[in-house]
Amino acid sequence: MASVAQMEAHFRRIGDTSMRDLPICNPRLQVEAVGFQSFGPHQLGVMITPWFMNLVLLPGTDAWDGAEQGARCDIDLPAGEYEFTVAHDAALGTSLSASLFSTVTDFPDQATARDTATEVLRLVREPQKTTAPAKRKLTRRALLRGETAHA
Amino acid sequence: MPVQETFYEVMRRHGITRRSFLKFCSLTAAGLGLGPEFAGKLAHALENKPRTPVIWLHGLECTCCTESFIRSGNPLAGDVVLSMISLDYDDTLMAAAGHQAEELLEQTIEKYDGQYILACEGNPPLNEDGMYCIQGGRPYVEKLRHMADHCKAIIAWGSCASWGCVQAARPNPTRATPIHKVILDKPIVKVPGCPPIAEVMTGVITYMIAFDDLPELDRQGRPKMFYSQRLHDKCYRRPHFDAGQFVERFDDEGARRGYCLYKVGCKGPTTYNACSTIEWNGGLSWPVKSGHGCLGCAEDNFWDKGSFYSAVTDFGVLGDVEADADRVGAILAGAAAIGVAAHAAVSVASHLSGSKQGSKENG
Repeated sequence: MASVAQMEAHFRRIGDTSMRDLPICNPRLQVEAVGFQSFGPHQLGVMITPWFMNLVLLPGTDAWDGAEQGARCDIDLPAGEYEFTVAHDAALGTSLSASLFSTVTDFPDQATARDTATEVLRLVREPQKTTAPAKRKLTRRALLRGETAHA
Repeated sequence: MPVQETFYEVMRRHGITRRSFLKFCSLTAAGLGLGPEFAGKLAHALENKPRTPVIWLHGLECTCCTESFIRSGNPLAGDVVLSMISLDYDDTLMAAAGHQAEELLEQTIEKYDGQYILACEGNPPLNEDGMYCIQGGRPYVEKLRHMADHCKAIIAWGSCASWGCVQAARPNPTRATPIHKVILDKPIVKVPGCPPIAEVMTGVITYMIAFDDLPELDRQGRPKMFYSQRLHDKCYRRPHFDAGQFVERFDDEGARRGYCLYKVGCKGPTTYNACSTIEWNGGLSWPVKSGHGCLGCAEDNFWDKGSFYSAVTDFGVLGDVEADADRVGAILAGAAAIGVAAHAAVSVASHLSGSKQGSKENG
């Protein structure tokens, strides 16, 4: 598993090479990993680069190693179920990301981007309110196993 | 009159079983991004409401919207949607022709004044008093205005009706004009795309007739449930973009590896549509999956923005905080956490520019 520092270095390298001077990049932004903390065996935080801002989950297990590149999977965060995309990279290994801003050209500066990332992390780590719409469907398999539907 | 029947009665008459009907309701509710509990509401509405008459007009267009609509991959859509709307007039699908067909329009106005939905495919050309599109001996724009005067709401199908599309390309010799610039006093739902995705079309029309209301719209008049994300947000090639891996030329090594198509002109980063999630032909594929970049066909002015094969360089138009707020809400949202994500959207948006109202999505 890659560390957060390795991931930052990885994206800095990309920023200096293949993404260099592309118009989709915001030159006012830099590569920065924001608020990475343990989430079970994994690390969860926001990755800011001049070309995207993603919620990123660095897996602490090999659970997604066999998943197809670009496959989608739902991750249960305290605030609810969020859809992530699986990425495999030769240097970085497997990571999961959910796009927050896929062009970041609107951000005036790094501080605003960082504040936004921090706010998003605060919200996704906030436990779901009781009125939340998430109702798990009782599957036939669950029923046969004697489980009950729960929110 | 068939319009006095409920949708459900009509469906039963067409031999659709109750099981199929309920399946349609739950699939449609899911397709609309509504919770499972809405399937019941949808079923109830369709069982109890009289059918809503729909008049489907065609201006300057290529009929791809109709082609898309009648080929919806949603099971039963062909039977169910066409049965449950009372499609009183659609010159592609109706049996009537000539004077008989045109009379249907007047009959609809007489019987259902202010109650029918006007579905517009294509747009009216305004130059030379509208003579570039003549139907039944008069300019289409007159017919459009006349029918719009008496309708309840308008659906602008496709990029022609929503934005103008290729017939409005510079110098736009016929002055082809989108519906919202001609009809100013009726609610208009824009469903852009060339054509729009079939499931989006059936979803929007089902929502409108079942709940007798417009779906929640963004600032540009598009249903948020389908147009609040850019293709790029949910593109399966997105990890390659993040990693700076691009197709430089079609058929290069990057193309073979399925890298990001941004440099060969993909407009996914600036296009709001549901192609990367719903996909096309019943979820079989979509342009990027077939190896070609998105043309941005659901976006205003896509026809005049230069080559389809040039990388997007102008992101200035995206400085739209409301759009971003909608987008963050939708993107953050997993299958079940839309309400929470909407909250995130509002918060994020307020960080960006004071206090803007964001999506209060369909939880």
